[in-house]
Order: sequence, then C-alpha cells, then structure tokens
Amino acid sequence: MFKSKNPKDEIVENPPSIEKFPLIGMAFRNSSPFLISAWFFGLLFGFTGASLNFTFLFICSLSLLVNSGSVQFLTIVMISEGEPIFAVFLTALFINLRLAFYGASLRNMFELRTWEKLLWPYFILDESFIATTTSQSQLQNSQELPTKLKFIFLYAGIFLTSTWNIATLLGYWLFSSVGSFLDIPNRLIIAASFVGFLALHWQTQKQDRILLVILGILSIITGFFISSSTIILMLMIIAVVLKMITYIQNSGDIS
Amino acid sequence: MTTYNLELILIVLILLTYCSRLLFFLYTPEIMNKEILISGLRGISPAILIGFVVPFALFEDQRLVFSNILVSLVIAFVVVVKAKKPSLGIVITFIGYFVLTEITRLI
Repeated sequence: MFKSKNPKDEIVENPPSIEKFPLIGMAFRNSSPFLISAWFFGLLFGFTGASLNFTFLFICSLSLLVNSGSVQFLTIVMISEGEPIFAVFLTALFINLRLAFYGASLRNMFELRTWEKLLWPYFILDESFIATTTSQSQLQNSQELPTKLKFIFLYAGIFLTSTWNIATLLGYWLFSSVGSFLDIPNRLIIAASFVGFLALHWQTQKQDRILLVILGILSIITGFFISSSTIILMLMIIAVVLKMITYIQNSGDIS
Repeated sequence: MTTYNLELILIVLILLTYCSRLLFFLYTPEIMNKEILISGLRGISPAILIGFVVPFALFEDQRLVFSNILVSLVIAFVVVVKAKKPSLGIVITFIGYFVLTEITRLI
C-alpha cells in the first residue's frame, strides 16, 4: 500500500491531539456536555417519581433496566394520570422507534462478537449516539477505527447510564428528605424539564416551526377533551403522518 | 381508579425498549433505509416536546388554567431562544415560578 512520505500527511493520518488521549478520555470528553443534563434529568426523574408516590424499587428499576429517559418520564406520568396500559406501551413504542434507527446506523460502525451484539444495544441512547458520531468524525483517518468506536460508544454509554442512575437515586432521596418543604407541582416539573429543548428546537430547526405551531394548536384544542398524557400519543401519530406528507410533497416538487 | 400491575409494565417496557435497540442492530432490512420512514420519525421529537410542555402548562383536569407555571415557562422559552442554552430553561422556569408565587402571596 502506498504511503506518503510527506510529513504533513503523516500528521493528518495520526493527529497527535487525539492519539495522546486514551479512548476512555475521548468518550468522556464527547459525552461530558450530556453528563450535565443526565445529572439534572436523573435528579428530576427520581424527584418526580418519589413525588408521585412510586416505590423506590420501581423508579430505580426503570432507570437501570429500561434506560430511556423520555419513556421513563412518560410512563410515570401516564400511570399517575390513570391512562390505559396499552397507551403507555404504544407511546413507549413510538418513542423507542428512534433507538431502532440509531441501532441500524451504529451497526455499520463496529465489529462486534456475538455476546457483544447483545450487550452493546443496551447503551444505545441519544447522547451516546451523538458522542460516538462526534468521535467518528474526529478519528476519521485513524487506524482500527471500528474497534476504537466500539469502545468509545461503550464508555460513553457507561458514563451516561451510571450518571443517570446515581442522579435518580439522589433525586428520590432528595424528595424523601426535603420534598415536604418544597411545594413544586408535578405539572411544573414535567413542563419545565422540556421547555429548554423546545426553545432550542424552535431556534435551530426552523423547518419544524410550522409543525410545532400546528401541534401546539391541536394540543390546546384537544386539551379540553382528553388528558395531557394521551395528547402526547396523539401528537406523535399526527407529527409522523405530517412529516411523511411533507416529505412526499417535497419529493414531488423536486421531481 | 385504575390499578396497574407495575411488575408487568416494567417487564413489557424492558422488552420493548431492548428489542427496539436490538432489532436493527442485528439486522437492518432494506425498508429501514427508506427516507420516507426516517422523515416520519423526525416528527417524533417535536411532538414529544410540545406534548410535554403545552398540555402540562395550560391544562389541569381538562380545564384551561392560566397560572404561574405558564408565565414562568413563557419567560424561560424567550430567554432560552435568545441564549441558545437548553439547560437554562429548567432553571429559569423554576426561579420564575418561585418569584411569581412569592409576589402573588405578598399581594
């Protein structure tokens, strides 16, 4: 295989700033922005779970075994609002569909042994996916890229999952210790948890603004007839259909 | 009042989430690469955001309620759009809510 003698090319092939750091350091660096939000949301999840009178074992089991933030929040909210059990499962299925797509994308990045193929999917999260794809672009010209990415994904997943679980324990303990002194409505906790992301989505995804307005109007209209948690399921179905229609229309315009 | 078997819910959710992750990690059928499906799934994210914020901020037991929660959320929304920092949203909402509640109590 041809190898360039140009020293500049060698620097590009093996960037010193990346090679000096072990993979665990890179995984930590690329997942660190998400660790802060994992702390915060983990705490909120534990706090909300305790305030809705769920048992410590149920809340911790959800965090450890389900390991999917939005599904966890939705589950406890829908149960506390007395929603039908099929609505809980259907909503969870809808939210988890994105994880299936992450799986399809990650599959081509790694080379895994059989037992690893069963363990690695547990760590498929929005944040670990972003940390791995960021690392992929940083290590583009690096040797043994699939092996490196495999471990970066694993370490990022472990960091995020352990942070979330510790924060959940603390959040539950926090409510048990000081909850009675803080008069925080559950509705505030749930809405406040996502307002930042809604604002950021509004700011960055300008093509979704019309969709957000339509969904907002629909949620206000239906709010008089159905419970808040059922509205989420309804909005998800409508949003998927609207996005597909928009795609078909745009494809038609292009052709 | 609805009663739930929490153990059953937990088991189903574990299986549902793990299988979703595992399914296309092991085998990716050609249909999953269809842009129309991916486009549809991109709609889930804004739907969750609106679904968590608007109904919970505006309604209580199917009644429209204009409360301190709504005002503090609107303030937080505007600040986050300007600052582009989603983590500020929850902090500003909580501070706004507690300040508004104290003012209301004093008045």
